[in-house]
Amino acid sequence: MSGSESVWVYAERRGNLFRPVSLEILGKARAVADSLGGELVAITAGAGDAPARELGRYGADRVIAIEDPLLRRYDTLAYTRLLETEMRSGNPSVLLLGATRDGQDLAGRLAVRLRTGLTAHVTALEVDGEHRLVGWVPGFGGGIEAGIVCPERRPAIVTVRPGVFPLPEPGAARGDVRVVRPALDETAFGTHRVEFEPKGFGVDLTRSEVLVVGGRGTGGDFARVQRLAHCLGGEVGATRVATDAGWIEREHLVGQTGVVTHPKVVVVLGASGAVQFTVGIEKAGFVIAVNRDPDAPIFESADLGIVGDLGPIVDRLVKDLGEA
Amino acid sequence: MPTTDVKPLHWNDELWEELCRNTDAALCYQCGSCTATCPLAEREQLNVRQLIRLGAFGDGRPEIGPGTPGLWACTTCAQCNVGCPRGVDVVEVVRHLRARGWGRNEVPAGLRSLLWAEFQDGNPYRLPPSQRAAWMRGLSGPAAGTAENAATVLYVGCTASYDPRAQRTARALARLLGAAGVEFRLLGEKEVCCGETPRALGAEGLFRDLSHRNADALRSVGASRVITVSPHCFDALRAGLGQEVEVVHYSQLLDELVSSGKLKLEGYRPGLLTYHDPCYLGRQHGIYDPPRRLLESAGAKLVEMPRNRRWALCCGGGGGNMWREESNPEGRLADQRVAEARETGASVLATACPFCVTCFAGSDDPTQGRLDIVDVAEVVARAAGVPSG
Repeated sequence: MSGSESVWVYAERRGNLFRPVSLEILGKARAVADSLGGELVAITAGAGDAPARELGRYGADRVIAIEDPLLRRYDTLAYTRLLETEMRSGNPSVLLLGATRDGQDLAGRLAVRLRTGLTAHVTALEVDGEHRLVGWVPGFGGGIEAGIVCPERRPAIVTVRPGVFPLPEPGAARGDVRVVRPALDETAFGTHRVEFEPKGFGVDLTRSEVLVVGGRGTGGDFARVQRLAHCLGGEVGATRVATDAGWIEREHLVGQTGVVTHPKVVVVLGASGAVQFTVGIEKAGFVIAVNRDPDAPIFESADLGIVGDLGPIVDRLVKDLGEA
Repeated sequence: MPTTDVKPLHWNDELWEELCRNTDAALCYQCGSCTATCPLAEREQLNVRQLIRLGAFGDGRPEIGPGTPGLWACTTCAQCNVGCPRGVDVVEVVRHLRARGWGRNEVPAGLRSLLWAEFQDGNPYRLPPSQRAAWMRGLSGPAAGTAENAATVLYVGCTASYDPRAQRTARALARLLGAAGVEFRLLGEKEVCCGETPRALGAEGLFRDLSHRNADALRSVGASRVITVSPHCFDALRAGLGQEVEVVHYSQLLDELVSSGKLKLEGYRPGLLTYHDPCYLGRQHGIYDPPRRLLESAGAKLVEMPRNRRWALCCGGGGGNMWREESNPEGRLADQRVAEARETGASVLATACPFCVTCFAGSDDPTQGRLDIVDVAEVVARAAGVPSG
């Protein structure tokens, strides 16, 4: 095993699930490792080692799973120390991380600890004729795209923007998993969590299967929208008109500057259907639109359109659903 | 103002020299006409005069950035340019101040992902280039832009390509061109965003990059004339393509076609109609009459809002504001404009820009009675007897 040419990927976990960007990077890193003639190692950390084997199915030759119940959530100091230790003994040539909030935090720390270079937010990766890894980074200030190499220091650390590489299809399970149990105590952590209080109501519209979205046509009556969402067991979404007007918190904003949702069913109440909003429901399974204007563009995005005043229609639905 | 609020000013030579090199900010003698006429001055703490002053001095800490009041709220409507006795292109100054924000990595949340979408997908909506032709649903024959070797290209633009409402405008226009015997072609997936929004947001480099891509695409089909749906594309392509091709807004071309008798209008009487001048057509390029002539040829009885032509109130969508979230208890500029349109007694509000149509549709309250918010191309299509959507 040639440690000097190995490519490592930090696979970021949330609970027992890996962040998609980590799997996207693994797919690309396979090709990078093959070009460099080295092995591909996935390194992950969290509570429990159960998901680690999964990484072999995405191309890793070997997996290092750092496991401790206290690693349940990301902590800058603890994660930095643990990864630094593994990197010093494994001596990889390249370390790739997702440019997520935690990935960016960790990458910067590690680069300083290991006295090496960090190429942040790349959108493309290639190995050049001199066997060097080149990370491409666009810069909007100057309208340029820069190819960045880390010529001398190792590992070359790179964070990769989510969504730029395709998610690979998982293959058969392969690769050894080495579990590292650091036996941590509270002193390993830089922060002590007193309490967890989600911002606002802590809605996660990206995960809800049923969504009821209110627009200008609601006239600000989100209690009515809420009632229908409640009957359907769904969440409440809103258009920008509604959040800008302060009718509902910004975290409910669906669309380009809000969240892109993937519900099975979405009911859109009183929204005109501008593209800034419809991109947020483009991946919905079934779209039901209610609008009093039969010419409203929202009907072009809808599977089922109801022309009429949303008040009586929603009230009727709530009544019928409530009685069922 | 209490004296404790006064911050020391630090002369910022570098910023001022940059502005003097790239803009005519040096002509400004701080009279404040810009702030006095700015439609956002009171709503958004946007003080244009002060912005230019800050350009000269810097404001100590923090320097111009996302925290500078109003810098990103500016819709680049250019009302300030109209009133400036020194002829300063204030919008250009705003663009350069915003560019500094990008250079220093200080921009409001959300705008970064907008530029990423432009960079990666060639449009601001994060939709794939393969869906660019979605607007053409139901078009066939000469209206489908299949004239090979045609020197005229219909540049559809992102909003008319992807937005379901604006797609209707593009279809109406394509049908009108077909009916008038104008041979034209389309760039299809090779068309990318004109870059107007990135440019207005200060991302000049991205704008130039997009311009090159469009110039290459136009060159590859041998185009000598480009027709745009949106005044924003009209503005950006004129700035970005150079002298190589002639860029016209569709209202100019349709006006010509109607005047020369190639396009015959009859049979539609929209009644009392008011016309809203899009900033990028009117104030920015002085095109006030062609759309009005078209509407009158279509049989409309035109009634003007008190603020019209170079004093027309902006819809609020320019300068990146189609994507900027704003919490403003006074509502949006478009709310005000729709109210002004209703006060004329008109039943139709026509304009010639997809951004304006979207903003007005989002601000209209149908419980106050029906106000038909349409694009001029759609009114002309109805008058020409071709489907208008």
